[in-house]
Amino acid sequence: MGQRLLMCLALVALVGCQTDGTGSPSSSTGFPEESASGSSEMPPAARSSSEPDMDLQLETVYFAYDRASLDAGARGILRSNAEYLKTNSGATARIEGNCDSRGSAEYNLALGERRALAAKQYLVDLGVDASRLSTISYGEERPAVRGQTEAAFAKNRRDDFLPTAR
Amino acid sequence: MPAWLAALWLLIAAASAVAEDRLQVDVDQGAGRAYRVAVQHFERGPGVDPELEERFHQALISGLEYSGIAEAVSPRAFLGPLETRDYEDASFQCDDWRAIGADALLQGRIESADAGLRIRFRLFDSVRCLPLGKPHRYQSEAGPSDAGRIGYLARRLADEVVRRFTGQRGVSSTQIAFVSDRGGNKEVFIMGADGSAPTRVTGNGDINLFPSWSPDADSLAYTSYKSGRPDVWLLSRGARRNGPLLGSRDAKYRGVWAPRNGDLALVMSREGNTDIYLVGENGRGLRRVTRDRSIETSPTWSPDGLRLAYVSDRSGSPQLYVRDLASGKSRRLTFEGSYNASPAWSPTGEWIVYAARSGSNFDLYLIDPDSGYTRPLVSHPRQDEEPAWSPDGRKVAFVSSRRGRTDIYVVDVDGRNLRRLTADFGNSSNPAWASWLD
Repeated sequence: MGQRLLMCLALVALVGCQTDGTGSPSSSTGFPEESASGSSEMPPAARSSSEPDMDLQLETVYFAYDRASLDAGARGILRSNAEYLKTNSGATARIEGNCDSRGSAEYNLALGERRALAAKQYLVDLGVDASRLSTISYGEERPAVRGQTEAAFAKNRRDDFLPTAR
Repeated sequence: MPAWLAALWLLIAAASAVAEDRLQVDVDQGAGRAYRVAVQHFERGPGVDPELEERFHQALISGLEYSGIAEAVSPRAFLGPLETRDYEDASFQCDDWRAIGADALLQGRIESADAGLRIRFRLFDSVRCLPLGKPHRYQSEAGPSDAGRIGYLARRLADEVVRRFTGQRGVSSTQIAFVSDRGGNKEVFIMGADGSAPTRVTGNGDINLFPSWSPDADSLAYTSYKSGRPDVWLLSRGARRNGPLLGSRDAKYRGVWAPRNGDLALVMSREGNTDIYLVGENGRGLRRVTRDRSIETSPTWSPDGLRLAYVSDRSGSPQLYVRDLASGKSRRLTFEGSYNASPAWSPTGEWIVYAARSGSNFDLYLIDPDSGYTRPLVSHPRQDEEPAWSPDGRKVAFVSSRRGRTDIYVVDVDGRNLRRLTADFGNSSNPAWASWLD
């Protein structure tokens, strides 16, 4: 909450100083320049797969093309993921829904979300507290494997499970 | 006398009773007959560098030819002077230009004015031997880089010449926003409609997607993961506005500016379902448009702002739908194929262009939103996706992987005049074409 307020204040300060003329646009397009160092967020590398602080043993599940339904294999993996979460009651996880690169990037964001939510719902049905699970979709933006082969596509239609700080 | 010239004379005779500021040449779009323009080198005022004029001249010709409806007559054919010798002298030997097959003569003067540059020009109809429109001038603001501004002035002039020929302004001076991963991650860039001067706009190091222009071409909406989740951000030239569209933590996948009234169509997920909402550009007045349990995404506005076309998978596969916003009634538009996506409604209202899958391959099609009549626009064994209209509705920018990496291409609405805009720029995607700046 406090952090959010701080960000709001920072934003107000930013907009305030730019509208009074001191922040003249530096690029020829007239748009202000944004730099990664100026943003307060973590770089993407720090957010992706391996965060060392917690060794979360959750397996990736895979999906069929343009589908978000869980097949027998996916349900089996999710059952073992649920067991792990029940045994390690302090663990929390973010479920990241992903798609292969075929089709509309925009539609794939919604499809990835549906995949993440399908896994979340199944884990909740198996008795995992919903408050321990968050979801996000990356659509086709974060392929696990590069390439335009059916094998690569199959590895990219997935839910990854990442530890999150409680 | 060639047949087309005879036809031309007939046409001119027929039209001569009509007092009109337009060149009366029959441009058959299918046959590709273009207006032939003799472009003189412009007279240079005191202190104007010859190299600057040369740069202007080349940008002017390239701007004219970008339209696909005008071409420059080779100066080697000129009987009249290669350059404008005295702009104040408006006399004009039309026979000299008509004899070499020029439909029109463009002449003018470049001079420095108030620390900027001023372009004065006039256009002659060499067939009717009359001025074509009034003499006119453009002026750049004072600035350190005349070289940078001269290209824009030239393209603006080219677009005005196109307007005098066709009644519709050209688009060579407009801009296209797009996304490129050339720096490793996806950032938003802007380039000229001809692919010139690609310039990075965002630089947060995270995933940035789907730029959408405000109707005045002054602001962009885009999707960014920079706050750790997908959210829609607004950004204005001069940084008048730079922040998230809405304060909520819901996942927001795309904002699309309405053609008028300052609303955006917003793709947002609430309670585990992606639907389309409307919201003011100030973040107020959020209201829901679709309420289905299926995925609703990719909204595109009709030019009057009264209807939305969008993608829904309510039938079991992604298909196009059209919704009347006042009545809330929607109807399915596409029935062929198992995957139709990325609709874009033309600024003329006539067509919706979209990407359709056949086999494992996406091609672009045009569909009449009222009758459902469909025709192919571009196809290729590799992917053609994400179409976006030019503001005059004559061209479509799109993404294609026909050279391996994805690039932005542009094609005329009749499928001709295909050209690639991005080169050696990583993978480029998500084109959004801005309206004219002024």
